[in-house]
Parts: sequence; C-alpha cells; structure tokens
Amino acid sequence: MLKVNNIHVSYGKVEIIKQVSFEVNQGEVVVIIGANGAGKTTIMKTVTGLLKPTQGEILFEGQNIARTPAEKIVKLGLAMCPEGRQVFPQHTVYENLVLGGYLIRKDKPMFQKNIEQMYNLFPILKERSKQVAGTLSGGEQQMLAIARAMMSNPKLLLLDEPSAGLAPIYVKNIFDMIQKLSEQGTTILLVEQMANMALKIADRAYVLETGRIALGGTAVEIMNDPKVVESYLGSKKY
Amino acid sequence: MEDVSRRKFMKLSGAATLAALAFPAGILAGCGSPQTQSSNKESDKKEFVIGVIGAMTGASAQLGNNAKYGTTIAVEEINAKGGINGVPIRLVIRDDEADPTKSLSLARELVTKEKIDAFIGPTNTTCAKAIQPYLNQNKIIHLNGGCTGAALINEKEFPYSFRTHINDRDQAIFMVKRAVNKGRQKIAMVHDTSALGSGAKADMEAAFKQMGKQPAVDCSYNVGDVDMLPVARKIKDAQCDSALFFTLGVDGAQISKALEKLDYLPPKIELHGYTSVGQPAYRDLAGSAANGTLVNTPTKCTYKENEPLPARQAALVKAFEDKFGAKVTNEIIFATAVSFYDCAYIIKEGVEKNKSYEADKIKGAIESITNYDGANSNYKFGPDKHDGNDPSQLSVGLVTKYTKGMFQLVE
Amino acid sequence: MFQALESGMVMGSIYALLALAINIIYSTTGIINFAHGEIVMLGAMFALTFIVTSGIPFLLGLILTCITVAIVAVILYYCTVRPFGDKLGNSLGWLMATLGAGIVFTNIAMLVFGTQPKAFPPIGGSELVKIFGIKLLPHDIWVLVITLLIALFFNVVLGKTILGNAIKATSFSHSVTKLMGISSQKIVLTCFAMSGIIAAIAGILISPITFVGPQMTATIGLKGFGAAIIGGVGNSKGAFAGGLLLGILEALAMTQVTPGYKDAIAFLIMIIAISIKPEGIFGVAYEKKV
Ligand SMILES: Nc1ncnc2c1ncn2[C@@H]1O[C@H](COP(=O)(O)OP(=O)(O)OP(=O)(O)O)[C@@H](O)[C@H]1O
Ligand SMILES: [Mg+2]
Repeated sequence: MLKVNNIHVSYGKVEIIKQVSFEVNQGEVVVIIGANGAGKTTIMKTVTGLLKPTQGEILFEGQNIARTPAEKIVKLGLAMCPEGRQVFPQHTVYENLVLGGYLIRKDKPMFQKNIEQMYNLFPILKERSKQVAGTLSGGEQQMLAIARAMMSNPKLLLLDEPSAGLAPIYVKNIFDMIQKLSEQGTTILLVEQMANMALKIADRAYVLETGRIALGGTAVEIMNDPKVVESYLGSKKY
Repeated sequence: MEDVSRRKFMKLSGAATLAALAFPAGILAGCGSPQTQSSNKESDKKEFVIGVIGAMTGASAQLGNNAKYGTTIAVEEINAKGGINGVPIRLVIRDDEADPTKSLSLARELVTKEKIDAFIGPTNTTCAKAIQPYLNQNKIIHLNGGCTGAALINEKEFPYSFRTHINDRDQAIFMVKRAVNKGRQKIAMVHDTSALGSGAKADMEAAFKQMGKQPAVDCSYNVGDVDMLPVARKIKDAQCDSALFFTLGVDGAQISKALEKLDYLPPKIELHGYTSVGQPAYRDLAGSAANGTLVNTPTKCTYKENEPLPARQAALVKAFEDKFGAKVTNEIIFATAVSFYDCAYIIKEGVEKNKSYEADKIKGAIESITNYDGANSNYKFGPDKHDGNDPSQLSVGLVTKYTKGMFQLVE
Repeated sequence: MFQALESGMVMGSIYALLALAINIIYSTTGIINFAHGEIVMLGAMFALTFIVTSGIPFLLGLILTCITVAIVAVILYYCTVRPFGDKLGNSLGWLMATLGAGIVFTNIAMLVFGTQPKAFPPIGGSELVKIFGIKLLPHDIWVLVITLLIALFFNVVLGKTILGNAIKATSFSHSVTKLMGISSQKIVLTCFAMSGIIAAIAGILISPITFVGPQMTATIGLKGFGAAIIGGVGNSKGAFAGGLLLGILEALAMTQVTPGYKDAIAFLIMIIAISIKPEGIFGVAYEKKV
C-alpha cells in the first residue's frame, strides 16, 4: 500500500533522513521506533507531503506522491494524526470533526455516519461536542485528533506518538482504539516511544537510528532483538 | 514546510519593497561652504542663470507647475527679445516634491553647480523657510511667486527675498475689512489647524482688532476632515451672516456641503474664501453648494460679465496652452502662474535698471520699482516693502463663474 | 444632535467596513494589512474610472471594480505576505512590506490619476431628503444598510459555514489545515480577495463623502484599524460595533469640543477603549497563534 524508496530529507542544508526505505502493506499495523530526534516525525511529515524529500520516491497504491501537495495526498486516502495532537483549539469538538471530514462534506449521509462512528468509538467526544477543543484534557485531545483524522475515511492512518504525555490508563485506551481501528480495516503506520506497547499491537516494525533504518522485521523479531531490548525496551518486561 | 526557494523570494521581494520605500533621496551638493560669487564682469557674461524650484510631483504637483509654466513662458519671451541686458537667460528647473530637505539640497546644487544669478520659487512655504536663509547668505536675488506665508518676507532677515504673490496676511486683512465695511454683523472665521490656518486666524484676529470688531465664532478643523458638520453647525448656531473661508479647496467644499445639509447657504450667509477656494477642487467637489461663494482674486485676472477676457491675460493663457497643452493648462492656477511669470520680469527690471549683475545693485533696483505693470498685479516695492503686492490689488469673484482660470468680477 | 448622530453613524459604518476587511485577513494570516486604506482608495479610483469617466452603468461598474480590486489584493498578498512564509507570527517583514505597499499605491495613484480630488456622485442622487426632521442624503442610508448587510454576511460566513471553520483553522496552523485536505493557500487567497471586494464597495461608498483622491483614506484608514482593535481583532461583530461606536462617539464629542481636535479625540477614544478592554468589546482575547 505504501512503499517508501530511498528517501532523503533535509531541513535547509542539514540532511536528517538518509536513504530510508520501508513499506506498509494493506491491513497491517507497522510501527517505527527510534530515539528522540531520530527523524520519525520528519518521515511522517514527508509521507503526508508537508515536507518534500530531496531524493527518493514515495509510492502510495502505486502512485508516486513525493511531489504531491499535502492537501491532495489526503484526498488519496492517507490521513495523519500529527505529533502533539494539534487539535484546532478555538474550534469546538464538533467543528474539529467537521474539518476532519472536509473532504466528504458534500456526502451528507456518509459524513453523518462517520460522526456517529467516532462518537461510538470515543463516547467522551459526544459528551463534549460543544466544548472548545483547547480546553479538553490531553487524552481527550488525543482522541479528538485521531477521530478527526479518521473522519476522511483514510485507507492509511499515520499516528505520530499518540501516547505522548498521557497517563498509563489513557495510553492503554489509545492502543485499544488503534487496535480497534485496525480490526475495522484501516491500515496503520505508527510512530511510538512506548515501544513495548506498540510492538504488541504491531505486525511489523522498523528501528530508526539517526535518520537511517537500522533494523526491520516482524514485531516479534524486533521485540526479541537484544539490541532493541537494551535500547528501547529497557529491562522491564511486560 | 519551509521550502527553500521561498527564502530567496523573500530576500528579493524584501529588497524590492525597501527600494520602493526609499524615496529618491536628495542629491547632496558636494560641499557646504559656498563659494563667494566672483563679481562677473558685465562684458564677458555669457548667460544669466535663473534657478527654479517647485513641487512638480507628489501631492502639491500643481503648485510646481504654476512656477514652471509661468517662468518658462516669461523666459522664452525675454530671450526672444534679446535676453537680459543682451545676455540670454538659462532656466534651470528642479522638483523638490514639497520636501524641505530636498528643496535645500537642490538649492545648494543650483548655487554651487549651476551658478545661478537669481532664484524663483519654491512653491511651498515650508520649503521656502528651509532655503531662504541659504539663498540670502549667498546673496542670491530671490523672487517668491507663490508661497504666501507672511513671515517669509522680512527685509532685515532676508534682504534679497522679494514676493509678487499676495500674501496670507494681506488676504486676511482684505477679507475682514470687506466684510466689516459691508456691514456684516456676525462673521465666522473658518480655518484649519495647520500652520497656514493658525497663521490666518492670527491675521484675521489682528484685522478685526484694527477695525474695532470681534468675530462671531472661530471654527477650526483638521486638514482633510471629512465630516464637517460640526463646523457647519457652529456657523449656523451663531447665526452668522458671513463666513471667511481660509480653507483649502477640498476642505472648503466639505464645509459648504455640510452647510447645505443644514440648509444654511447663500443668500442666508455670505461665503468668502481666500485664493485657494478658487481652485477647481472647491467648485467641482462642492457641486451645487458652491453657488454664490465669493473668492479673492487679483483684479487684473478677472473679467467683467459679458465681456471678453483682458487681452494680456488671454494671450498668456494661449501661450500656456500652446506650450504645454490645453488640458494641463486647465489644471494650473492661472493667477499664480502669472505671478511667477512676473517674477522673471521683475528680475529683468532689476538687472537692467542699473546694468549690473551684482546682487546688491539688483536689490536696490528692485526696491526702486514703484509701479510695475505686471500680469498678476501692479507691483510697488521699496526698501521696507519687499512684498510687491498688496490688498489694493484684490477683488472678489464668483467661484462658479470663471473662464480659463479667471473669475468674473463681482465688485 | 440627531444630525450629529446620523453623520456619526455614517462615518462609523465606513470605519466598520474597513475594520471588517482588516479582520478577514487577520483571521487567516494573523497579520494586519496596513495597506488596506490604500486598497480602499484604489477601489474608489477604479470606480471613478469605470463609472464616472467611462460611463459604465453603476452595477456593472461596481462588479468590475470589485473584481479589479480583488485581483489587486491577491497581488498584494503575493508581493508582501507570501514571501514571509506560513508562520507570519515569527517575522515582522510583512509589517514593513504592507506599509510600504500602501505608500507605493498612493504614489501610483498620484501618478496615474493626479493629485486633485474629484467628485463622485452619491448613490440615490444628491437631493437631500428629510427624515425625522434631519436632512440626509439617500446615500447615507445606503451606507448604513450595505455595511449592516456586509457585517451580517461575515457573521454568518465566519461563524456558521465550513468556509468560516476553514478560515479559522488556517489561522491556527497552515500545515494542520492541509492535513484536513484543505488548501490553506486557497483559503488565504479567498480571504484576500474578499477583503478586496469589501474594499471596493467601501471605496464606492466613501467616495461621495471624502471625494476621490490619493489621500482620501489617510486618516480613515487609521481609524479603520482602530475600529478593528476596539471591536477585538478577528471578530466581525466587534468590527461592526467598534466602527459604529467610534464614529458616533467622535461625532457626539464634536458637538462639545472644537472640531480641530477631532482626530485627537478619536484616537483618545481608541486608547481608552483599548486600555479598558484590551481584547476588544466583544471579549474575544486575540492570542498570538502557535
Ligand atoms: N524545522 C526543523 N528545522 C531544522 N531541524 C529540524 C526541524 N524539525 C526537526 N529538526 C531536526 O531533525 C531531527 C529529527 O527531528 P524529528 O522531529 O523528526 O525527530 P523525532 O524522531 O520525531 O523525535 P521525537 O521522538 O522527539 O519526536 C532533530 O534533530 C530535529 O532537531
Ligand atoms: Mg517526533
């Protein structure tokens, strides 16, 4: 479904991503793990078109989207829930969802159906639908951000650290949601610090080190790699 | 998100904006210390140089054109008849954009580089203030054809400066005296808050005092005010029978339109404006509210009802039209343009009387002119009277009755 | 008194029209377009050229003016705002650039149209009509009505439509807005074009009152910014109320004080209003965007 071939990405003169390749197949949950500053967000932004690679290609369902503007890529069925949630703080919860569903706004029944679905998935959002998003709690904002991304019926959903800054109870919730979404047929590319949690729900995983893919394999393989255990999973075993 | 090309673009457009912002800076004259004019031997004089500075672009462009047209035609005439003392005149015209700093640097350039023998201009009082000290220090004969601030002419401070145009104070005195002599009981003074307006207020008050009278109300406003209703209401509330408009054309038009809203126009009140009210702006913008407004005008630049324009002035209009085109001639202020025209002739008189190019001789000669028949007015100068014009040369015309920039004489 | 109120309302409406257009740009880009007064002036100039000089029928001339000025506003965006990127909060380049553009517009207008103000016919003729004992021009009523309609239009568009939502979203973050599949660029352009259209209408409405000249909006432009700030920048209700309030207070103050102090009073009103309610009378704090 998504195939990234040898991309390089720079901010100004500094090359952050060097020759990165990976792929996500239909129906999979793929996770990218890596230390702070490894370049995970940069990769996500590049895939969604917010950044442009200096080299390489990004194939989404066979089409090279490396030069396509971000707003057009969303139309192809690729949505992202950005790092740090980034809900629209002055809009209400409902308005945030409306914006998420901007692309299907003309299809009223579909729009309505999606809203219902999101309210079912995240009942708290229904309760808070008139509340201004800036005043939601961090966990609620995260749910809103995921729901907003899901409003456009993406085939592939990118999640950049959905668990960041959340209490363990919320973290578990979020991962349950992600699994639910996956079961409902959405392909998911996930970036996570919570490597062990992420690897549990993932099919495959990649390890990113200073802008390069250091390791790739099934979630189980990665989970059992001694280096990964040492650097990303710590001594704690779940 | 930041694409790289944008940064370049930003630099480029930033530079363009800066360039657009930076107005053409005044050319700085090479050195500040003026060279003492070597007293030219009459015999080896090749040309007589007259420098002219005026605002020919920007908001007061029209003023500079008055100066340009008037002096150009005068110099052409003079040169066609053999020049000054047999020496041809070279005219150097510069645009100061009404900017005093620029005006001064241009004046320096004219004196040091062009070696001018005499100077005509500038066209804004602020610019005149900036350059007069310099011209006088350098003993340049200076003829002012259009800056009307009374204080600009001061025989002690500026011994080489003379003026042909009627000044603000004389206009104020003329208007107040006329209103009082006509028996108006409640007279309103209308003026803006600029230097010109407050000067006019002081002049009018002095004139009232002289006549042993008081104005009924004093109405001030800011130049460019749009809502003039408060001014109009003040005039109406005081039940004035006369309003003296020391206003620019546009502001005067706004006030007249506000008076129209209050239903307080002539003949309920007499509106009498100083020369600016005669500008096309006033009658064009005030529309029907301009009917009946009186305006100061040099008597010589008027015509009588059902009579043709005076021959001399009509010929000048034609000269302007032939040289510069009919359309632009319509845009200048005729009386002011011929005031500049007269400046060139006064210089010629001054030089030829003593057959000398020396500033002090010319000055003395101009001071001895007691009745020069100019195109704008009859001028009378003296050692204590460098203002050649005076209220006796003024009349009132009807703003709405005009031909080629001249008004129909009312009285 | 009532006459003063009436003329205060007319001037206030005009301030409000300027404030509304300033707001719409503020609400997507977070910048204040300091060339807005001059854009209004250009609107008046084009209207004069189309309607008075070329004799094009009023409505067609109005539409042509709106289109032309909308294009000018879009060009202004590309030249003075676009170069400074999406995150305008981080730079002040646009400030200099829009201020400079205003001066350039004034100078171009002087060159092309001349410096002498010209008259522009009021809508509904120049016959005064008498209503409730005060004399007014039919044009004054038009000014009030059109301003009210435009303010209502904005209130609905910004508050209740998806376009309004998208505009607000753009002001929060261009990149997140793009992630919704919304072209933030198009939204910003739409807003600049809209501000141009309102500027054109404002230009036509102001012309009979101020006359048409390169300097016609010099102080009015400033008061438009004042009205926007009094009402709370980015708030269309506030812009309308702020403009009207400023106009009326100014006119009423003039019945007590000599008109020479008019501008001083107007700006004093602004300063007082801003210091009492810095977030504007409609109380929406305008925080700097992220
Ligand atoms: N706009 C930018 N300009 C310059 N450098 C940047 C920019 N954004 C990120 N970087 C740098 O690129 C590198 C990768 O950043 P990125 O945000 O992709 O890391 P990450 O893997 O997502 O880290 P984290 O886990 O902390 O979110 C970092 O060293 C960062 O400092
Ligand atoms: Mg990151």
